[in-house]
Amino acid sequence: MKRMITRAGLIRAGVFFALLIIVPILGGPVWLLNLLIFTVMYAALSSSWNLLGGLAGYPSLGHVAFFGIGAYAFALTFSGSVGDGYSPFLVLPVIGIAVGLLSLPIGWVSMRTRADVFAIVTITFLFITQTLAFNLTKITGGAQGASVAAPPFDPATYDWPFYYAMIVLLAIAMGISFYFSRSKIGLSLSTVRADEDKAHGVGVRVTAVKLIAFAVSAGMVAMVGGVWAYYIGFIYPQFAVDPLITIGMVLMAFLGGRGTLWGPVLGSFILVPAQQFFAQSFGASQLYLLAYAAVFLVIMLFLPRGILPSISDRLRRRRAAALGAARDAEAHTADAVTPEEVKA
Amino acid sequence: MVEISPGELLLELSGVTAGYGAGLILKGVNLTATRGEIICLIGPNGAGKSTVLKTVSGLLQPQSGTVTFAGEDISRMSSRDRLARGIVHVPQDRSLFPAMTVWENVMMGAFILKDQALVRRRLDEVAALFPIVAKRRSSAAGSLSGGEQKQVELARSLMLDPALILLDEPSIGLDPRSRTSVFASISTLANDGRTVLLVEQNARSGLAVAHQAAVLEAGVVALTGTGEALLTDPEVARLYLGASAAGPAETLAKVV
Repeated sequence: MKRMITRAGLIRAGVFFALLIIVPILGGPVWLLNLLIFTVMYAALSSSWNLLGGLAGYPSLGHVAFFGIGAYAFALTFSGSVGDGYSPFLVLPVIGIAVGLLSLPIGWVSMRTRADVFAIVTITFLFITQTLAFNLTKITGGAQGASVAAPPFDPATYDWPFYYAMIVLLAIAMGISFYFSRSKIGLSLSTVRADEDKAHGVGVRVTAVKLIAFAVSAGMVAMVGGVWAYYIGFIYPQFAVDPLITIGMVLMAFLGGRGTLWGPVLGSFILVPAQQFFAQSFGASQLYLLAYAAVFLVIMLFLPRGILPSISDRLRRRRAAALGAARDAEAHTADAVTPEEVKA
Repeated sequence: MVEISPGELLLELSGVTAGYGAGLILKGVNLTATRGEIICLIGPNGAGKSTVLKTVSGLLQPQSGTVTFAGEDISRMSSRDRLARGIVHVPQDRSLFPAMTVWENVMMGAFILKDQALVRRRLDEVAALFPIVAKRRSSAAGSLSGGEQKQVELARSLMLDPALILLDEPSIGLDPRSRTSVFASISTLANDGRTVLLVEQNARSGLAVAHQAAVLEAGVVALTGTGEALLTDPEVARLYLGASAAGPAETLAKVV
């Protein structure tokens, strides 16, 4: 019921991030770190998407537009020189805040709709952004692409800064998600997700809280896009604003469990390696997408609410059966809940 | 919250017109309520009873006219600001969050409050008045029966210790026993000098608990009086009570 800072939760997060951090230090094949960079990137994207799509119940399909805007903002800022290579990372918060502010009018317009209509409005925004990236050739270079200056990193540890930057962004996204879920913002978002009219009725600032979720989510995604552009070095409209990236972050959140803290992370750590594996097995053909879709369909068939909620439901039911319903009810009565503690 | 001495004018609607889109539903409503009263609003479907409540709670802004609450013009105020002034609306549709527990739902009634100690104190008071809140506290609100849900909604409306409670057809869709307990609860709500503005299709029961009553007809107040007076008015009985003032038994006898 409660989402407090528990020892188990701290240990889980500590172990997870410690493992991520030591992987490059332990060494290992080059492909592993490369795979991890994209896995952590998707975990950060999916966790950021989850702030809006999961917690507020607004399933945006246009989030890759903010990813692309962040990528281009970064590329255009650092097309000439990146100095020592580390200082560009410090510009990311500026990009995040700027894109967050830019997203406000888009959020305000699109969130006048809900559910399927909202998904369509946001996907329209995605294609508008992609078209602009292709056609504003003076700014973006159009189909010719845009490049970022190469950082003077040591070739042996070239990938490390990007990897750690992705980890930091993932930690921030999860930190925000955790903060939301135990604050009044999270409670507001969960009432918005349930029913906006009812939320209005109890005095929730519906529009404001929706816009906060939208802007924070968009700003986070833009920062991830900036790191991505830096890592890739050369960006094209069809890859920076790629519908597959949008689909990726949505699928991973759905797979792991929408609206949960760890669901998007779990989803990413399953789907990204699976996608890479299939891409390798089926070669350059797009056939791997079929296998990718098949994995998703099978899991959705057996765990329709996503892995984490389905498992925790099953555990709870089993535990309840073991303890007996009566004692379970008693245990529930024992913990009082304040608005802050109500699970989002 | 607003401090008002008993018997003082709390709410005044003056020449309120309002509607949705093109047509006007309210065509100049004048209505007053003093503190500590239960006012029952009756009238045919479409007369604008629910719309009156919405203009008071802020879900709908009047197109002209003023709504005055405790001496302050609140006509253009947001519903959140009106909540903060102690105006709580219990809508006709089920307004609980079905996935949240009863306890959490009641707590949501105090969403705009910051003082958690105050919220806990209120919660205890409300649970004492409405036993269902303590009894079913951990149940999902959606698993309760319609009558139980209405009790929880009424309990929740007290969490802000409001000066004015707007009740829209609280007995709709309930079995006779639940209906009886809802009307008993309405009297509970009106304790401590609270004002209740009640819209009730079940006019006989509504008028019976009301101190004052008004008949709304095609967007204007056609008649006002005490609840008792309207209950015994033969014209009101013929038009809105579905029977003569003498009661349903006699009517039934006539029909048979």
